[in-house]
Amino acid sequence: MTPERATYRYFAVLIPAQIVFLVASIVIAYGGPALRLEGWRLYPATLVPILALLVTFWAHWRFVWDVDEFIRLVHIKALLAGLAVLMIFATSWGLFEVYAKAPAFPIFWLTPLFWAAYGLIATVLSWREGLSV
Amino acid sequence: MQNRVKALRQARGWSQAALGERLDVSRQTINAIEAGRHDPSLALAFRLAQLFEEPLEDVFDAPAP
Repeated sequence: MTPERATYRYFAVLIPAQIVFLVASIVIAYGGPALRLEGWRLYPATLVPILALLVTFWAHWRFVWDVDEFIRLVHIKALLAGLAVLMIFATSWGLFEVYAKAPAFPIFWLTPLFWAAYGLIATVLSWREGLSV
Repeated sequence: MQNRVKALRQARGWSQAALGERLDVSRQTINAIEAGRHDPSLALAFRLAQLFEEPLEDVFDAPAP
């Protein structure tokens, strides 16, 4: 499969999944009482953005296998580096919380941090290797 | 790993994109192999050798032990 076709397939799933994630998060956060989203109902409602997140990771998994071995290698390097950034940040902040009584960090933000780190590193590696993806 | 992919490709008058299409890989992958920035998998190396109708060891130089 060409990189362009793989990218198209990726974004065809990623964009709707991210819209579902965003809309569901906003509805749960701000429209809860109006929609009677309270108590136990918040649990199934919260599953909606979680499922959107799972779909996002599935789309990424499929993208990495759709592209050829060289492009896959570049993305796997970027994924590992993004994971390293995430682990280092989470562990460092955790140590600050334990030993220096730093304020608690909302773990909700770890996923955006991972995507930002991965995206930046993938862009740099792709540029170095002359890739357009 | 050194290889003769560029010379073999050019002898057939194929572009990197055309060779990539025959092997179902991207032009960038062919470019990386030719430049020695990527050692292909064994499967891709065999497909390259078969396409060029050359023994594998004539396409790729075995690295020194």
